[in-house]
Amino acid sequence: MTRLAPKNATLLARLRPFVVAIAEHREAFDCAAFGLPIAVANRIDPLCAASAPFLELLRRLDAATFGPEGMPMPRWVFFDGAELPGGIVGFGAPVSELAPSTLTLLRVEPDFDGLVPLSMFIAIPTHEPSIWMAHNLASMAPQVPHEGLDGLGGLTKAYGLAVYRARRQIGATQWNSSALSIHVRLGPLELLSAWTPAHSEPWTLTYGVDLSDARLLNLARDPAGVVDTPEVDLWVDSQDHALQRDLQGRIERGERFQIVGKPELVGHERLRVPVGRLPPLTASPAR
Amino acid sequence: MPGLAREISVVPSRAPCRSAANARGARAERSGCAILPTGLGVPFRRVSIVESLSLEPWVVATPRLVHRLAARPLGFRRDELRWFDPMRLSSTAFLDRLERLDELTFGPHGLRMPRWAFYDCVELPGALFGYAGSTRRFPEHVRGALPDDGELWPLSMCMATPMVRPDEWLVFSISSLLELEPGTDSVRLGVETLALTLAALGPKRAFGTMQWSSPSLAAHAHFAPLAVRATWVPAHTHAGTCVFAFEPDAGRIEHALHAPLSTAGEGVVVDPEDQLALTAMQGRIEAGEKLSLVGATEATREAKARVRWGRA
Repeated sequence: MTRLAPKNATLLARLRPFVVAIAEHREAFDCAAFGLPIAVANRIDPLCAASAPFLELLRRLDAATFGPEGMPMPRWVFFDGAELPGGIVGFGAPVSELAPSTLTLLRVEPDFDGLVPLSMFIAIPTHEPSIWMAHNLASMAPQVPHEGLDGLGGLTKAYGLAVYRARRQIGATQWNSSALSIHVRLGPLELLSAWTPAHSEPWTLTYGVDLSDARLLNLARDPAGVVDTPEVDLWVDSQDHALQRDLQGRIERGERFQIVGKPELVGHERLRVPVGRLPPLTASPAR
Repeated sequence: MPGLAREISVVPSRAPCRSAANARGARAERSGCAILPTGLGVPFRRVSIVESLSLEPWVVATPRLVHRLAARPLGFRRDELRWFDPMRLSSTAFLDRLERLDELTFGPHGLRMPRWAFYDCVELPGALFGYAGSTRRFPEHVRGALPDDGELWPLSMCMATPMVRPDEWLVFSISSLLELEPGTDSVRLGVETLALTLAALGPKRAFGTMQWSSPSLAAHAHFAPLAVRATWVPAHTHAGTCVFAFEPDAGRIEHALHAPLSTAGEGVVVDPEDQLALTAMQGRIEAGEKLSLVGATEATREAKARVRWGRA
């Protein structure tokens, strides 16, 4: 069995995994992915009223991470859009092992006595078997540097995808999102859309990527991980909406592109994203 | 909790109810509706509100879903479904109108869905279904809320998200612009929209959520009995939420479409404002007892649920 050994070894030494899903869904998950079991006490059923305090902490984690970007998730979207149909996988630490400032940031109630979630990866199954939609990846690592959580976002996503038994992942993110640097550790990301008016922020791109253990390990910053690094054909500036629209038109006409590496930071919330061409599909696109 | 009672008494359903209706076993029906063959060789009648307003079925989903749809849901050929791919620029105008529908129906109750959530939670992984038409054929109270632009406007919608196990879907956020005026037509169109969703996706099991005071409760009750999985959900925006599941076979869809809602019969009426009762029922469910939603008190948006202990 492949095991995870992220470069930041303290993550697995300190943190404990959890999963939120209804009972019958948990049976379909691998709750010991990479040989890392999720304790029964940390398998949370959103249909149980007693789960409410933990689920509220997840909402606060979302607010602390996505709220500043203007996309906090309403409670009902958490429930209807994630907890009930799919799952939430993450890592946390016992309340007694966290700094008071960390607890303050997450607004942990004084009488709370349990696992405090520090990261979460929400994914939703799609209508295609084994393909999962990555809905939300949140990590407190940047907000609490004193906790030493570097690499927690990638670890959480890699572990979560393994728990869900995903073979392929799709996702949507903005061209200027710092999270792209995490996602691309899975390897080249095929662009399914480059300009997406269906999203609140049209400068959203939609991507898809096939998964393997080697890619998941790379995402988790495990030195055993490996991904391809294709050539760069063009750079897309996150503020160049005209180029993004042009790429979208070319995708709709059958051209194919992929993000081939880590974006470069060129200004405040401004990235240059390396993009390469893919050969056109010649056979059935059905995967 | 008087505040809670007032709050949930006006909340529409943001509830999934997914169903696995395949058309097998559907029975022919009564007068007044065309009987159309489905791809499975099973007749389904087209339905009343849809016919009377000359509505067309639509789908928002990525293209590969087409292979998973029933050949002729409710008698509509697949190529009769107006298809909008959320990853294509040409869909933008229709998605704008869909957002307007959501704003008009859920917005006043604080349950408006952010556009990114439409995309992430429904359009990419699952699908939206509904009926659309020209505003010029819509009732006057609906026309007043929309531009007279001659475009195709969605009148109703139902969201569907796949669940973890194969052939299980969560169906939620059933709504229609007919809700802008009280009456039974909005309930009927809700039933017809949910039926289209179930007939198209053909799930083996559907999950749903709705607030106990939801205007769509009567629509869901047409598909009863429903196995209630939770009566009190503190994690939801409105804790007075019902989570349920059912197996929507063709007979159940057919019955929902064409049989009048039984508004009398067995079961205890659920008071949406009685938090103590809802939490007590939740405790019994978590202790292993089975609760079924067996009907509604009336066929309008004011309906309350009737439940009884025991399997659905």
